[in-house]
Amino acid sequence: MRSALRDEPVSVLDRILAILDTVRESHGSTTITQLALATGIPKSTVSRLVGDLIRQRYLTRTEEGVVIGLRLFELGARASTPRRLSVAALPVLAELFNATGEHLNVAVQEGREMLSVISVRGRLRPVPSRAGVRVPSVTTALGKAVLAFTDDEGVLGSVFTGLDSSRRNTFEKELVSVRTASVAIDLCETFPGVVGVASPVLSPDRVPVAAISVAGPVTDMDPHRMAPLVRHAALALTHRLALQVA
Amino acid sequence: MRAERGDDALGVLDRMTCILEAFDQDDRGLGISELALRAGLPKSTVSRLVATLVRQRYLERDGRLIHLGLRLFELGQLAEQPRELRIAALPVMTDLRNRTGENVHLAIRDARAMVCIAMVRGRGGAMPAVRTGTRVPIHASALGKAALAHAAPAEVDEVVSEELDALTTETVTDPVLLERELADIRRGGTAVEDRELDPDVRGIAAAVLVPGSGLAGAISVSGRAEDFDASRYAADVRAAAKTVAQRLASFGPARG
Repeated sequence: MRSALRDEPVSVLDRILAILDTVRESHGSTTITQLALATGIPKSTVSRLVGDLIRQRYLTRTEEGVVIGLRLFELGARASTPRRLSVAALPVLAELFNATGEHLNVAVQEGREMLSVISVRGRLRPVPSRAGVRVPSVTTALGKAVLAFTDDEGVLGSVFTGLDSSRRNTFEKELVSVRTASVAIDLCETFPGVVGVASPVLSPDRVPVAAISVAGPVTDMDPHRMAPLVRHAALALTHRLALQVA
Repeated sequence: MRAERGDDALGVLDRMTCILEAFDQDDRGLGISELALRAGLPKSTVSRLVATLVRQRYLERDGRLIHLGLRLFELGQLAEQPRELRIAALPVMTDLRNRTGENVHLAIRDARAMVCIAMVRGRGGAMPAVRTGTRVPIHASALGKAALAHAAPAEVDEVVSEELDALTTETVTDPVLLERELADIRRGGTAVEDRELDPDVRGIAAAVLVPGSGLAGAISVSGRAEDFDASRYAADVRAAAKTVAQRLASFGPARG
């Protein structure tokens, strides 16, 4: 009996987290049927767990199905990394926005993607990314800025899978030059008509902890004019974070 | 009903909630022992659940200490209700802060509480302020009273049917007085908070009412009690709430 108790709750927790993750990936509302299909959990169990999650405010019921609830907003606002980054980044972003007027992001690495933690709206419409949204590491300036400084083989390996050998070769060369310049550029690789310029934010032992980017319309934003501004902002944020730790 | 269901799903979810809610606003990391103590759960249970929550990035481990993790932030940012209102309100909030120099808050109603979804700090930087993600009791705050004044009578009855906790000596705890105040708020368009939530804070709020869809939230200005004159900001707060409502309406329904 003891062993049954030991295993059961963990698997229930896994199921709960799988449901929340599926709601996250749906970027809108999801139904019980869709959740059951995506998670492989029996529909009756999904239905019961979703009921519990709604009662505890992790999810909210809407006309179309279920969406993320307010408790997750409340807990998320207390999460450590975004909060520390925000405190350090806000003055840096204000200065960069005054200098550029463009769309800004501070993002951290999440697997093969970059998760935006703070964003400031510039001229771009529609807005290509905002806080809480992920963009692919392999094409975005944010992703390349971080990858160029990472020596985590697991991360690099997972980003490289899916690239053929010539693409991989070009990409590795690009990362070497990003490393030298401390600036990465995304010339319409991720979003049509959008150019992005990013620079990495490093920890005191030179591990990339985030990246900061400027994005604007390719028609009239010169990435080379932006490069020194973004590099300066990333350095300023690096210093401010180092002071926070000390 | 909970007890009947014993050790199954709700049990696990309850324990997860106890663990996550053990972290407060100060972002101080917690060791396993302190976390277990705060969550009111055995250390072994906490260790086991924390291992899963760390793996899924709901929690982060920094040496011995545990913090709330990035996944919670990501999920929270995707919550639709706060997101739309925040986008509509942020420029208006900044403008209101620049006009008044005081703390500006935006909140939405959740049953008997207001959840603060955005905050722009006033010029008196050291002034303590309710932080984003915090819940405040609906009856004890300008934000809450502004919102409640526009709720259906049945909803108001529901709020006042339970005991109204006194957060300070000034909190209105008499249902009759509260309902009278709500009627005044409905007429005047603004709700005042006079040291009812925090003994050092005064504030004024207005409801964000969207034509056709009703109450979206409330916006407030607040500051240090000794030199805050609520009436001075009434027109500004009312105008800001109206602008937010117009911006929100202009976004249209189901905007991604």
